[in-house]
Amino acid sequence: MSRRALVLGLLCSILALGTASTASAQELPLSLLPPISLDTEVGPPLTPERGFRTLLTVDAPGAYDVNVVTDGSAVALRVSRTSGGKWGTATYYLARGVAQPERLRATFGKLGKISMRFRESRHRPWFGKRRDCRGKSRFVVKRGVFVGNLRFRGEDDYLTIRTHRVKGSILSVAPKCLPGNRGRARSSAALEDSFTGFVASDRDGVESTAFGALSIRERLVYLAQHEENRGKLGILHMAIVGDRGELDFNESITVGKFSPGGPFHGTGLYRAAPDGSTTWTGNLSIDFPGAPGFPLTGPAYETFLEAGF
Amino acid sequence: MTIVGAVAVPSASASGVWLEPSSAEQANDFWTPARIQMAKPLELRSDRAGASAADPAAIDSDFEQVPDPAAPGFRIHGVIVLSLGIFGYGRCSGTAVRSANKSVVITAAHCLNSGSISRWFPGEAAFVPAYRYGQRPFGVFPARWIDTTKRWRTTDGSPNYDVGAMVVGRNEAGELLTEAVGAAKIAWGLKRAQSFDVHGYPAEDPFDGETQRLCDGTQYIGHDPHSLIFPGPLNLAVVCGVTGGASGGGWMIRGDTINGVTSYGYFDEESPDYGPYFGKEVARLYGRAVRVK
Repeated sequence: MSRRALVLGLLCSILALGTASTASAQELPLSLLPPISLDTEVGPPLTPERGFRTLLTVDAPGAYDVNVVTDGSAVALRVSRTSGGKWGTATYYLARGVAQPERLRATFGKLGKISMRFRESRHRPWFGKRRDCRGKSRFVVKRGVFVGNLRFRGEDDYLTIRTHRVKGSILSVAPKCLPGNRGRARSSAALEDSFTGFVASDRDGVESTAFGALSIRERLVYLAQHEENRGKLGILHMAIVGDRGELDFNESITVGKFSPGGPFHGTGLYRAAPDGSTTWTGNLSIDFPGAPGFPLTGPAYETFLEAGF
Repeated sequence: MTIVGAVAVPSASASGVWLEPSSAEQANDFWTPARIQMAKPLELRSDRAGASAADPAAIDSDFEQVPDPAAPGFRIHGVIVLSLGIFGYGRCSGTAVRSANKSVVITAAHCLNSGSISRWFPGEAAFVPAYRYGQRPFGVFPARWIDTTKRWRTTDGSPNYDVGAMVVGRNEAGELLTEAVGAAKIAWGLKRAQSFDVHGYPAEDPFDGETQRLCDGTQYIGHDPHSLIFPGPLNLAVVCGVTGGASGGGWMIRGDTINGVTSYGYFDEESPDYGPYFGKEVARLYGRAVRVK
């Protein structure tokens, strides 16, 4: 799957969900997988692997929210920051270890480690019915506390956590759910309107960076993503900005200027030459948690621009 | 641990799928060059990992044409073709591997099974070693039995377990596969940092699938960050620039030992190519394949 399709797909899905605030950093997908298909109709029922999602929330100092979540075989420490529902940034520190519903154990390289067990509260579990799942009681939420050890010290000490007891929950998902119908249907319809989509991406080995912008129906969404490995630790940075900043193109869409505003800084400049070559320059950067001032322009970036009329 | 022949094969339980018996003559008549050319690359589903080549013009590939695929060392690699019923024909790459039954081919799991317990591709299938522009110098070896790592099927197709095996019948000349073309050794449990020779038959632009290609001495550069999310050992990344059809192509170390296969890539950039790590699950799969009579 092409990176630009992933980024544009995610941007479309965010718009289709309604507002950028509904896709705040708390809800940022762990990765860009799975992408939405831009032309997919409502699909047949899926039968995903019976799964669970463990979530614990840490009282963190400063402006950050800190959670530990499980996703598949990985334990992810998620540091996020939001502002008034208009933008969100998040950094996921992904590590392998023990990612069982009631037991979390992983080492985040030199940054810290977690070893915690779940103790269910005396409250009864909550049985829920999701709109996109068939039948009754399609998921169960247990609430309680995680006890053990969680130590984390972010890059350049931007965040320090040391705790032995935190609140958390375990969500067990039923096997038969439908794909995200509402989002897909609306995103397909949305693309029938005029839109401008732009993606700039760079890859160096397994490390990759992408910046995307989508303007549609007087809505504007910016997204940035960076992925890297540090040994066996995976680090995913993401940011979303909704309905802020500026996006200007000339009439022939050969020159574009992107100024997303905070948490982005500066401006990115896109130019397409008559010979088909393009440049992506400027001082555009972003403050990801743990990676402030991350540059998003440069000669190594591939650009992709698509406009519908 | 390096395995030569059937020595020190781990115990294995019954698994795999027997295919409808097909004679070498039938396979030879069925898998004509025209049908092979019609076959579409089988790719890993895009909701599991990157897959399709969206912009061939952007590919800057190191995948060089092999001068003579029928030469020793190259002829153990070939095209795997499958009949998919109303969906037409599919293709991948594969490598002949040493075994007591002299008939084992290693490929990617997604070439044989869609990532669930029951979803096999059960139609006509065959291995065509050293295929080159319609030439089939060693004939066509009809598939008799196919299998994947069990964890591929029980994890809904985790790309970290994307390894499959096929046992083939004799060719028209009555030869068993490794009698005809030789065989690679297979190794598992090795360190990740290896230098790999990546073989395959890429069929999507800018390639045409008509001859074998090789990335010589590509270095391990890490793993896909997304590999952390899926069950199984972290995968391997190398830089080669493969496209669809090269899936299942052998990653050789020391020139004669298979230690990986092509699984997927993100093709519209300078993407690495990813393949599963050969660990215990691959050893078990191999153990089952070599026991097929």
